[in-house]
Amino acid sequence: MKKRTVYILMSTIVALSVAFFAVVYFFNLESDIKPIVAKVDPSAEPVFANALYGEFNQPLNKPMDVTKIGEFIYVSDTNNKQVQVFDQSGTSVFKFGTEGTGEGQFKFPYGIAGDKDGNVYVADLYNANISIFNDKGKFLKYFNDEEKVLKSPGGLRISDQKLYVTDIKANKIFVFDLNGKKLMEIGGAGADEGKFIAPNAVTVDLDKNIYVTDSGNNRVQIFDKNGKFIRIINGSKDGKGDPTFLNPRGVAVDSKGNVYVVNNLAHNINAFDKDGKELFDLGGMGTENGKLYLPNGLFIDDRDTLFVTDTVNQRISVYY
Amino acid sequence: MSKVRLGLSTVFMLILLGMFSAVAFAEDGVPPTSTNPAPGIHVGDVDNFGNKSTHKTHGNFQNNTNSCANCHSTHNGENEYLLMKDGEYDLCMSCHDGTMGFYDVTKSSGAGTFDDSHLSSSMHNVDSNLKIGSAPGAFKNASTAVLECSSCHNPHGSPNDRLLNETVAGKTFATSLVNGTETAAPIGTKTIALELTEDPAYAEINALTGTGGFKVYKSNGPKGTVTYNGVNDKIYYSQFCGACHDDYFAKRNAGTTANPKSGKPSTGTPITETHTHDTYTHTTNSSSQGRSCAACHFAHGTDATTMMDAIGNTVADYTKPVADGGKYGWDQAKAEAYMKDVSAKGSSLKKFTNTAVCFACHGTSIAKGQIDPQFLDGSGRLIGRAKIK
Ligand code: HEC
Ligand code: HEC
Ligand code: HEC
Ligand code: HEC
Ligand code: HEC
Ligand code: HEC
Repeated sequence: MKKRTVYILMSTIVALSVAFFAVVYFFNLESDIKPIVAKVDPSAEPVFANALYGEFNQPLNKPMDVTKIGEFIYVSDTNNKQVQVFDQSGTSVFKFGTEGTGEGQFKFPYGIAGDKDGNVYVADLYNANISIFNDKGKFLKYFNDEEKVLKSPGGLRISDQKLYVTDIKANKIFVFDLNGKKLMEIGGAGADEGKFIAPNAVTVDLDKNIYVTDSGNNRVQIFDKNGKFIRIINGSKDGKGDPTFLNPRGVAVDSKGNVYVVNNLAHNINAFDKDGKELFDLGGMGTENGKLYLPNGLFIDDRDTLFVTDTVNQRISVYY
Repeated sequence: MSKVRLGLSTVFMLILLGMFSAVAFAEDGVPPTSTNPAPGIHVGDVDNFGNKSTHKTHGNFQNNTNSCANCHSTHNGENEYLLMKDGEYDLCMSCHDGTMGFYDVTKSSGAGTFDDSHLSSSMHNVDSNLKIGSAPGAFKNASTAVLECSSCHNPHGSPNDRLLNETVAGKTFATSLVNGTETAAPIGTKTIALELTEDPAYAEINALTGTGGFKVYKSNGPKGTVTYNGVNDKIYYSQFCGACHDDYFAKRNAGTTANPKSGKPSTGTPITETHTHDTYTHTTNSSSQGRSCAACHFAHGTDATTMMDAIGNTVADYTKPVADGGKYGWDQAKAEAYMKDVSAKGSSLKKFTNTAVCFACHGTSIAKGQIDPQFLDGSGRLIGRAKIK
């Protein structure tokens, strides 16, 4: 190799590495690099990492739910009647949806979930439908709820080619296949086991057990994959005492089987182990980093990163 | 030789790399960006081993659900009621936005609506830091408190229906004559009774037992019964509104030379600013039909989809498909255009669009014989009249 070529090569390498770290430094991407480091201690409880705020001139307004599809974070930006999409660094990359009742429009975008093709499903509580968009936000079609059972869809998750949705006014949860065939329904109004008042969120764990936040009854109910009631988590010991939840909302399960419940009016997230024993809380009322103010939606990705919508603080807080 | 040089330069590069990365990771005080929102608040507080940093507080949540804890977070030591300082609207809307299933205040109800997304909307702007004293028709009311849900409701409970406050703009609004003087009703007295009926849309919830008798009710405004000291609840309802809009709570001829309104200079003619409403001359402090605020106004707000016309129809009546038994089958845009309020002052929380409420009562006399009989009821009155409180 010629000396000159070597020098050019070397200085290019130097310049590039300077540029790389300059970018990391000036654009504050450190936090995105940190998860790799943070993962070192898997037994620790999640800690606040960063927050996604949305566009400066149009910040999130009452974000109600969040999900991650592929490498992007999709947020139902409810009062802006749209979905805002973020990349991992917290930059708002695009958004879709306008106010209205037509195709691609929202009145109260709430539960949001993705299928394995990256399509985005958005439940609209007021329009009483679920819209399906491609990953770029192009409206594809409405979810074909064959029996037209949905009155007020709220929480929405897709797992293993099945769609789980809560119907807040019907006080039920429905399970559909992705073609819209109803496979199962659980609930009806009430405070007994297996009944709900205003169920706001649903999730499914690795064993296909179904977790439903029964907001009006201040509890989370757990069902097996056939819809058989298993038990209640309400913050009390073994779920049998008075609830300590205050308007529970988002629910999610991490890879260890720990259950996280958003305790909306207590402004925190309560974590429980598999058996419902309380482990720790995250958040607490406030506006500073790591604090929450009327949090609502919760999503945990396959790396156990927690995303919670922090409605009054107008942000998504990320913990890992 | 060149191989060695390459090796050296690699080492050099690695050193550089190490230096920059050390800086990049150690740095905390970064300029504000979307992930670092404010000066002094930085996202780098997580230590590299994922241990908790000083910023994470152990949220001490209540050990039992008592009604207070439902809205007050007592764990925040310095100000127990901090939540209410500027988050009250959000607090109420955490449940009253439809996510609780019932009592969604963004949907038309007996109180109107807080939805501002439709044509011709107007409302009590409870999320805008407006002063109570800025109420139109406020003459004695000079309150500098901010208008919010709790200006009208007492979330802690009230003897009045719908948790309506006993104290509004700093005073007990409900007064009645005791030995010839207007006297405030004692605190704890029910003065406002509403015409509440179980909402059939929530029959399933209403049928439940073991909910402490909780039912979801629909309201049709003041009941029109005597509640306290011989006074009709419609009058108390008007006094409630009148606590803030004091000048609009009056007799038809109040403010005239013949009937001067106390504390206010009279200009001698009823159709002036010294009168109840600038544009017309009705009494608003009586329990007769059409004479209480609830006859013409909603309490929360209104819009084209909430208002009625003179025959008592709403947009929903006009858009109901003929196939489903609808009489008109109009499309939404047409129906909303029809129901649009064109008043210069806006829709003023009205129950009837434009001045349809006036027409509903006066129509048959001012347009004798000209009204299509299909719009009249059995007694020759406009159908909508029956819907006026
Ligand atoms: C539905 C929500 C809600 C519940 C439940 C609630 N509060 Fe409040 N509270 C509020 C709001 C909103 C305010 C601020 C507005 C006001 O002053 O009324 C407030 C204010 C207060 C204040 C200070 C203002 C005042 O009125 O003196 C006290 C004290 C208080 N609450 C105590 C309680 C207690 C004790 C309970 C339980 C018995 C309780 N609250 C339950 C919403 C609530
Ligand atoms: C935790 C959820 C929650 C929050 C927060 C909440 N409410 Fe309610 N509200 C309810 C429920 C449940 C009912 C029906 C049960 C009842 O009547 O007590 C209700 C009923 C009401 C009613 C009708 C009561 C009746 O007797 O017909 C009013 C008015 C009301 N709320 C006002 C408010 C105001 C104002 C706030 C904010 C200070 C507020 N609410 C905050 C849950 C909530
Ligand atoms: C200007 C006074 C005023 C303000 C401000 C106000 N309300 Fe009301 N609200 C009323 C009155 C009066 C009624 C009863 C109306 C009727 O039935 O005729 C009512 C009724 C209600 C009801 C029962 C609705 C139904 O389904 O019939 C709820 C729930 C409620 N209010 C909640 C709220 C909330 C939440 C806020 C703040 C976002 C709020 N109110 C602000 C005066 C007010
Ligand atoms: C706590 C004080 C208060 C009470 C009680 C109150 N209002 Fe108001 N009202 C206001 C204020 C302040 C405004 C002006 C700010 C706004 O428009 O939001 C207003 C505005 C209005 C307007 C004009 C809205 C517009 O768009 O121009 C109407 C109409 C009205 N109120 C009717 C009523 C009726 C009817 C009641 C009784 C159910 C009532 N108000 C009770 C404070 C009050
Ligand atoms: C007979 C029907 C009727 C009754 C009763 C009535 N109003 Fe009105 N009010 C109206 C109409 C119509 C308007 C709209 C006037 C306009 O567009 O100029 C209005 C307008 C208003 C406004 C807004 C005025 C402005 O200057 O912006 C307020 C505030 C108001 N009313 C309060 C009240 C209160 C408080 C009561 C009870 C004490 C009451 N009204 C009783 C019909 C009525
Ligand atoms: C509930 C039926 C009803 C409604 C609604 C109604 N009025 Fe009247 N109005 C009457 C009656 C009855 C009288 C005659 C007795 C009286 O003055 O109280 C009258 C009298 C009048 C008068 C004559 C006043 C006078 O000084 O003699 C005018 C002008 C008037 N109304 C205008 C209106 C306007 C404008 C509206 C709508 C904002 C309206 N009315 C709504 C029933 C109604």
